[in-house]
Amino acid sequence: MTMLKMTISLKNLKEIADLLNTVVTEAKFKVTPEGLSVKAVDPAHVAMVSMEIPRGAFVEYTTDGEEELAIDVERVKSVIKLASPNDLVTMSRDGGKLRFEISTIVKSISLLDNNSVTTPRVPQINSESYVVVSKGNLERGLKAAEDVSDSIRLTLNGQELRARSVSDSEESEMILPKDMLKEIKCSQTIKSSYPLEYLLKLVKSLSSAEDIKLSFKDDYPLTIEFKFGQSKESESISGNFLLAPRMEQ
Amino acid sequence: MLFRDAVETFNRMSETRKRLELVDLLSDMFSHAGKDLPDLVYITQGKLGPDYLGIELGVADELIMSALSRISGTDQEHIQSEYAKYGDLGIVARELMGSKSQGSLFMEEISVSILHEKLLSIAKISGQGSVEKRIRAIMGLLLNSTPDEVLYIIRIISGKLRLGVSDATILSGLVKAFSVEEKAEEIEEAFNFHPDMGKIAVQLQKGNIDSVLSMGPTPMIPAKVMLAERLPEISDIINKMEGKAAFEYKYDGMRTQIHLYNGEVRIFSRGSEETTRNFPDIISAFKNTFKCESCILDGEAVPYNAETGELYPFQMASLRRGRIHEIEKVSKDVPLAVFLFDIIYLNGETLHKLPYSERRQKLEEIFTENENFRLAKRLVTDSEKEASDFFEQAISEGCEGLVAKKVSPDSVYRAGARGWLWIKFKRDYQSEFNDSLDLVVIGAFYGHGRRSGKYGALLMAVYNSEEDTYESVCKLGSGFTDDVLAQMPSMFSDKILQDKPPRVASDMEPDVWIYPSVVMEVIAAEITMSPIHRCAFGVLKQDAGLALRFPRFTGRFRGDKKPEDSTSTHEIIEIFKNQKKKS
Repeated sequence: MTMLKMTISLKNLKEIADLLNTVVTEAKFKVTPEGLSVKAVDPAHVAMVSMEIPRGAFVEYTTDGEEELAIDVERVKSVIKLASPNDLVTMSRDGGKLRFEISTIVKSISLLDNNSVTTPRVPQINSESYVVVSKGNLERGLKAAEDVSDSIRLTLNGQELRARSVSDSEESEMILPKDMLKEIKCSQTIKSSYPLEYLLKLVKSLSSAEDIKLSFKDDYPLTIEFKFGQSKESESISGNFLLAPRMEQ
Repeated sequence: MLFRDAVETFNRMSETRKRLELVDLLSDMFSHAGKDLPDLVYITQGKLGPDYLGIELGVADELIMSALSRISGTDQEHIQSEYAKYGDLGIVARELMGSKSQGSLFMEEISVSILHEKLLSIAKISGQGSVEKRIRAIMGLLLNSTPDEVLYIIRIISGKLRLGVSDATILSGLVKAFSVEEKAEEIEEAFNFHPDMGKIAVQLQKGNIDSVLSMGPTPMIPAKVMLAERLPEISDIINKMEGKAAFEYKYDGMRTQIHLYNGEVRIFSRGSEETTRNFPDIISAFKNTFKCESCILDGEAVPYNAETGELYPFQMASLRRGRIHEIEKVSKDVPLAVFLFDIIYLNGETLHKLPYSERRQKLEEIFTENENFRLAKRLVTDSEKEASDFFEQAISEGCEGLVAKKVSPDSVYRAGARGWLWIKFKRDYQSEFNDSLDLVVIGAFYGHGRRSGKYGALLMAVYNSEEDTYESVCKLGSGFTDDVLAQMPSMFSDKILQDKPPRVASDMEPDVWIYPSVVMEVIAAEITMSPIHRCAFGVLKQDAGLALRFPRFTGRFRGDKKPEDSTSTHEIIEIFKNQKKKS
């Protein structure tokens, strides 16, 4: 069995756990000397997260080999609730357990059977058009739609992003003109609808992000790229989130 | 094997009425199943494993509707009303999925074994947050499936697959698939001792026919119980038994199979359901009475009056069914005596092939009778007069009648089979046809007047084991108490179908069809020829079947019987012939 010991800030660990938890309750990490990576898809294959956590994102990272770690994400979330905002969390492998050291506390949780958690293959998703919006704006637009419908329709053209939800009796729309967008690349009008619950959960779990990049095309999966932690490439945690579209009736 | 391929066979099965075609379809499917065979067999049975393992899938309708609502974006009230219209969530789901709105990132073609594994993991989800986890897992399954697959997945997870094929037909499919037709009967017998269809399928597929044939009674695995034929006259019985028979009291209680192994005792019902929890008193008494290492005993548990020792009727014993919390009180007020009459396994050896007389002797040797465990009273005789007196004595002691058992060396224990080795003789045969029949409900008619808003009558059927169909035999409208009338709508609510169920033969159209599952005890004045009912149609006369005249419900629901255990077409023909002989 390989040795593994890693120390990371509570803030980053919490964000990693929250992101994964939008999609799954159990996830399998791949451990290499370069860092951790993880892919997870919800049982319905509607949403998928993949994430790279390079060794530079850790305060300390030591391993002497490669292995897989299947983890109950909800257990991790409940363990780190014990920590204060500025704490560092040290995790080490202890046989079939993952041992946490947080300030004065030592706590171990059971690792899951590697065979019981599957790693999905990531589908090829390619959208040329994208838009970068501030997280605050996007979250506001999604929240406005939340009590109207369970899906939201995104429309993007070279001039603006619209996010609209409609029910029999109500509607909600957010319009972000070009000057309120950080970046836009779109040569024609594209439209696609997505399940709102997932989208909102994801945006909320990206607690440290300032901007969010959305790529999509007509009735096609949405890609959201994220990056947090340090700004330096080798020290930042990055990944993307895929969300399958709702088809219009 | 892909689940899609199995679904194709299931669809074709629902289009045929003929048993032989069913067997062909099953055989073809089984022979292409490869390593998915055992899982395919369980799924075809509408299960995830053998009954005795007690794996409960039966996901609640509300939960399924919630998953469907989330996938389709249709609100739950709409789904609910569609469900009320079709009576089959599978059909509702298939329609919804046809117009499903939520896309998925990728599709996985699902094999039968992976489906089985996913269903098992859904069955195992428990504890905190289990409702949400189940909903998500179900959504995952459905989103990855075609509308036709969804139809069957929903039926399986709600515990209502309703392909309508009996275990016997599935077994015939297996026997044909692996070309062991000449051993069909022995294989069926092995299955009756060891009711794990998946396990038998695997052995047949591997060509290990001997390992199937050697499956005998096994401790802790419920064997199907041996059944008796019936005859209306003691003289007929003595003749059939070649001049001499052992007559045993036929107690009016619950058939009980008791297993002892490694110091543990388990009790199974007639329908192979484990009922150990209902009998804490019997379990502890058993451990004090029996000192053998292991055994399987067959008997009838009968409630008795603790003060007078008199036997109570069957209904008192069924008080124990499902009343776990009050068991202690009930077992004090209504103690049980188990009247043992057979032993098929003892200290590592199977005894089912020994003749009856030797088995009975072994049974007598392994325990000393006490209040809780007694031997079924018996008389071995060749005299009609003695047997007849013994019968009167049985009736006066609160029994239903006698069971005659053959005393020749070929008198083995035949699991699940009704053969002429055992013949029952009940009270009411003597005067006129008045013996009770166990019929299956296949439909219901709305009531009028005092019964308006409830069901006024039921359409009842017998089981035709050759064709694996349920044939209508009467419309039943009397013998219902107000309580029963009030209960019936909710009792049948989850079994109502819009169309005639598969495997049902009836020209009479009830207001609602009911999936064959509830068995009720019925008496009738006589059996007559009828152009309306399908029982034995065309067998005795062209364009006519047999029907019951003046049928009446006795008040006894036979929850212990499966629909295949109900009175058979063959028995109705026999009773009809005997009735004619007398008149």
